[in-house]
Amino acid sequence: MFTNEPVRATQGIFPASQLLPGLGKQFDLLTNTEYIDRYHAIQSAADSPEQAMGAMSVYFMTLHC
Amino acid sequence: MIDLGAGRMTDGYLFARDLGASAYIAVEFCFTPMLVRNLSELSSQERSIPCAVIYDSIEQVLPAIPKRSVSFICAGIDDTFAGFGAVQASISQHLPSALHPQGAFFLYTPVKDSFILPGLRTVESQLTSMSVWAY
Repeated sequence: MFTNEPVRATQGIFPASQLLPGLGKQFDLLTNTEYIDRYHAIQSAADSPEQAMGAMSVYFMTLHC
Repeated sequence: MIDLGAGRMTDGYLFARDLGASAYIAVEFCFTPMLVRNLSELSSQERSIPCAVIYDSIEQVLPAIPKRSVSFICAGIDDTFAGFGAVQASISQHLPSALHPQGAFFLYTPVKDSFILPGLRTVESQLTSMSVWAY
């Protein structure tokens, strides 16, 4: 594990659809803590930032492909 | 202002703010948690415009942006990035129609000529010591 720094603080960060009317709410993904929780799990298991990035990319592809 | 591939730092936010953008939306999926943290840690004086972070890929987001609505930044994406082909194609296809008629697209990349942007014209190519292409 290279870091386990919490990233919960989202003060002042808005849903994207609120700042750009017409953009679908499906892009307000930061309101879905599953993504952040998943990131923490991958980050905690990775030996390096590069490995975490690779794992996140694979995770992302499983969601969208 | 929408920042395509914003990365982990707040440079794009500060750039948009200093340009007078009314809001900043970052599109990022590799470094999203770090970007959220860094934006959250800006002081109230630094964070004077609202911001959002989209946890998705450029090619997923660009087609969904309302027509003629926003300005863009795209900095640091080049052909060493594994998904460059898809990003390049998406920007070339969708960005010109999403760009606000009075907006601008700030492109910083060593492979600028890879982007075909119909209807857009370069208005300045040396805004800073770096080559920033503005459309």
